[in-house]
Amino acid sequence: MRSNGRTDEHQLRPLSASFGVLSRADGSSRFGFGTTEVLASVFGPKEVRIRDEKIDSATLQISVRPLNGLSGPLHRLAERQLRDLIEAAVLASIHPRSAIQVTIQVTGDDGCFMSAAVNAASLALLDAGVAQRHLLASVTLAFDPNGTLLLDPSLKELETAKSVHTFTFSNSNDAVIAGVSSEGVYSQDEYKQACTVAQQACATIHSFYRKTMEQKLAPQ
Amino acid sequence: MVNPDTFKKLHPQEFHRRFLGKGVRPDGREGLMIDLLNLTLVTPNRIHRNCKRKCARSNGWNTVICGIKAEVAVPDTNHPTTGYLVPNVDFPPICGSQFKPTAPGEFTQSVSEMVYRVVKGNNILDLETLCIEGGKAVWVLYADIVFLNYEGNAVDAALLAFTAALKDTKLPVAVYSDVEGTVRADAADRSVSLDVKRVPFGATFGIFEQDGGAKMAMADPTDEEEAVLISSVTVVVDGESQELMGTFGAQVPIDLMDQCIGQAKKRATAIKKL
Repeated sequence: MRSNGRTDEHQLRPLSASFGVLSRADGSSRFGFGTTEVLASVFGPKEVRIRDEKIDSATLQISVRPLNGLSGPLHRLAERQLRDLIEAAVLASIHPRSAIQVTIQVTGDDGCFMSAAVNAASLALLDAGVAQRHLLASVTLAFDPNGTLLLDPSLKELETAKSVHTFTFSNSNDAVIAGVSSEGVYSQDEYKQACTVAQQACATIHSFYRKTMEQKLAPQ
Repeated sequence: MVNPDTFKKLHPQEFHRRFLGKGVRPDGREGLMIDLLNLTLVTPNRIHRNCKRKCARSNGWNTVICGIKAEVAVPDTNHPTTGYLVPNVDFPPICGSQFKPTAPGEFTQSVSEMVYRVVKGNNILDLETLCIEGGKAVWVLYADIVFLNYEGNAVDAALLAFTAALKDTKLPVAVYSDVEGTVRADAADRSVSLDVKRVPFGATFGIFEQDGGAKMAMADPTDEEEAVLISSVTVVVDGESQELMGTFGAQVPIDLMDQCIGQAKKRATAIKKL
């Protein structure tokens, strides 16, 4: 038995997603793993500051806001990782000399906020109608002190974890890791095991995206 | 006929593609192969009496200096016997034209955070050994990692300097006095070496997309190369146990990632000998 009443090591918490949750943004979404929830907004293509202007593509402006307290190096790294992921997904070259602004607000944190942020950002870009090559799905995994691989760990499980791995895969090619960030101490075999489980979990999330979109588009 | 320097400025992507298509890099190195680094570790004179300094030069281009400063602090009430190890990476304007004398930007903070994630917890050092008196006083080790020359591949160079400095650090014997509530130590008598459990070596690979979309990895990219890469991958390997201590990356095929991990392990073994 895991925390939050889950029975299986490879079980995700209940997923939640909604589109168009903010009225002023061009696109917005909310994504959650259980009580970990993230709000994402997208403005753009919009005017860009001259010093950030790129003549052949749009400039991505990413900001990650914490649930409470000041934002720090943790959030700058999250922004850099999100930029790497979104730059590869968005067709920025069709909007030269403009900016696409993605803002992430954490609204509940029980572990894995980075994965929720990637998923929310991908859905908000979809909601804003920004052209993308693929959608991104991200999950976090952790090895507990006994070496058991836990999918989508809660904060409590993360506290005692030996290593933590965040994987992102796209829906166009799952032979390519769209993004990875691992910390802790682990062996190459453990890394590979985590990668395989993440690949499958990301496929589950992709089908969840599809179901949510179908529900949104279905005639009332 | 355009001269090569002009061509490189006008079409950096194409410039690198032509080299890599033939399996070599503009500076004469080969793709995924890692040649042994031209690594020199220098211990400069002690500048501050609390500081032990070590200088690491990686590849003859990056120059990094790491100072370890020890201070006494009150431990966290939840963990009364663990000390602190606080790394911080700084890119002052002296190290490259892209760095301005303003508050640290996204790049600086994210490199700092990556180094912190590798060294945090009990990964490198048993933090219990930094305890002077449970619940009263512990050592705080501030590791200031400062770049003097920056030419790409920040994380590897920063980790190298950090590890070298940590291995070199000697603390004085400290005694806590219950009556006065103070810590006394003889600054001249530095006899306690740190018990460094793991030696993290970073190996960064640039991911370059060739014609037709095939991806290749090149070890230890320079900042010139970083500008034309689609992404990069950093693998941190413990030189002692060959276990992994961190992987950060994007846009990398699974099999290429395995190759990168293999190469990183080889590199960790090679550097350990130096």
